[in-house]
Amino acid sequence: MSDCERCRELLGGHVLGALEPAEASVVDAHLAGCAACRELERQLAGVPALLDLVPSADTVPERPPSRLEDAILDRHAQERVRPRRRGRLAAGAGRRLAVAAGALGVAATLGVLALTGALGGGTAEGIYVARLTGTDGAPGARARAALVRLPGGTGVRLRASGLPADRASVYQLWCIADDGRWLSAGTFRAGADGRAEVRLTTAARLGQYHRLLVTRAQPGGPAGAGGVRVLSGTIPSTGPRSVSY
Amino acid sequence: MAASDATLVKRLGTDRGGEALRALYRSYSPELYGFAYNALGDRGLAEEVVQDVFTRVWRNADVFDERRASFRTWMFQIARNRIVDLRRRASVRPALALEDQPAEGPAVVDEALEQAALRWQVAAALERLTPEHREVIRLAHFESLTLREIAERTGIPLGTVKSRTSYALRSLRLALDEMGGRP
Repeated sequence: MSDCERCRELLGGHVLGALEPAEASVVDAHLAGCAACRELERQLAGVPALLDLVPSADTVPERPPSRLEDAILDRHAQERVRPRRRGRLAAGAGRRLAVAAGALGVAATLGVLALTGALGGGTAEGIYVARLTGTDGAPGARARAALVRLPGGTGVRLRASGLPADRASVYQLWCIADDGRWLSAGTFRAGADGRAEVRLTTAARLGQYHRLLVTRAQPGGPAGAGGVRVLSGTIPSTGPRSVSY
Repeated sequence: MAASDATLVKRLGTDRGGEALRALYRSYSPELYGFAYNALGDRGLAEEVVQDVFTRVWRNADVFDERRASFRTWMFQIARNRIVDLRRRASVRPALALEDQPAEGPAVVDEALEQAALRWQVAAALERLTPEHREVIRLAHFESLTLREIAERTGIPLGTVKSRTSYALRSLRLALDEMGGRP
C-alpha cells in the first residue's frame, strides 16, 4: 500500500478525530508533503461541523404531509379557471345570480323548468338540475343542485338534507371537470337539522363538467378535496328537454 | 429525459392538468418544507410557506429568467423572504411582553436561515447513506469512539472500519454536494 493509499484509508477517521495519536501523526506528516491528499482532506474537513447541526445520525428529514400536494394542485387548478381580477367578477356574478335565483324561484312555483339546450353546446341558456345522492360518508343525504349559466361561470343553488347534523363541519361543493380537475364552487355549513340551502358561484363553465361532489371537512381533519365525500351526482348532458322540479 | 426546471416553469402558464407543477413540487417540496420547518419550528407555518412559494412560482412564472438564477435559487429566495416576514411577525408579539428581547440583526437571520437549510440537507444526506456507513459515522462522530474502539465494539476488522469510515464521509460529502448547497 502506498503512502497516499494509507493516508486515504485513514482520512475519514482523521477528519472525525477518531484515530490513535500515532496514526494521526503519520497522516499529518503525509499531508504536509502531499497536495493531492491535502485536497481530499480539505473536501472532507467541513463535514464534522455539518454533522453537529443534527442531533443524531438517525435524524429523519422533515417531509411535507401528502395532503399539501393536493392542496397546492387544487389551488392552482382553481386559479387557472378563475381570472385574477376575481373580486370584480364575483361581484358581477353575484348580482346576476340574484336575478337568476329570482327566476329560479318563479320557475319552481310553476313546477317545471324549461331546458333550452343540451349542456356543452356553449350557447344554451337555462337551468339545469342535478340530483345528488348520499355516498358512504353520509348514506342518508340527498341534494338537488340547480345550475344556471353566468357570464363568469355557473351559479348554483343547492338544497341538501340528511347531512350529518353538526354545525362544526364545513361542506364544499365541487364541479368535477371532464378532464379530472376539481373546481370548487364554494363552502357551506348545514343546520342542526342536517339541511342546507345555499347559493354559490363557480368559475367553472357549464359544459366543462358533468359531475358534482360534496365533501365534508370536520375540525382538525383534512379540508378541501381531502374531505370525506358525502354527496355525488351527475348533470344530465342529454335527455329530456324539461325536468320537473 | 426529464424536462428541465426552466422548461417546467415555462409550461406552468398552460399547465391544465397540473403536471408541470406536480413535477416541480415533487422535486423541491421536501427540501423547501424542511428549510421552512427548521427556520420556523412550526409545521403549520412551514406548510404555509410551501403553499405561498408555489403560488408565487406559478403567478410569476413569466418573469422567471434562468439566465439570472436557477429555478432552485429563485424559489429559495421567495421562501427566504416569506420566512423572514413570518419570523418578524412572530417576534413582534413576544417582544411586547418581553421588552429586553434583542432584535435579530440581518447577519443573525442569514446565519439562522443557512443553518435551517443545512440541517435538513444533512439529515437527508445521512438518510441516503447505507446503514453500514451511517453506523460508523454514528459511532465515530456522535458517540466519539475511536476507530479501534468501534472495531472492538462491533467485531468488524479494524482495517474495514478504517476504510469504511473514509468511504462513509466521502459519500456524505457527495450527497451534500448533490443537494445544491445554500439557499
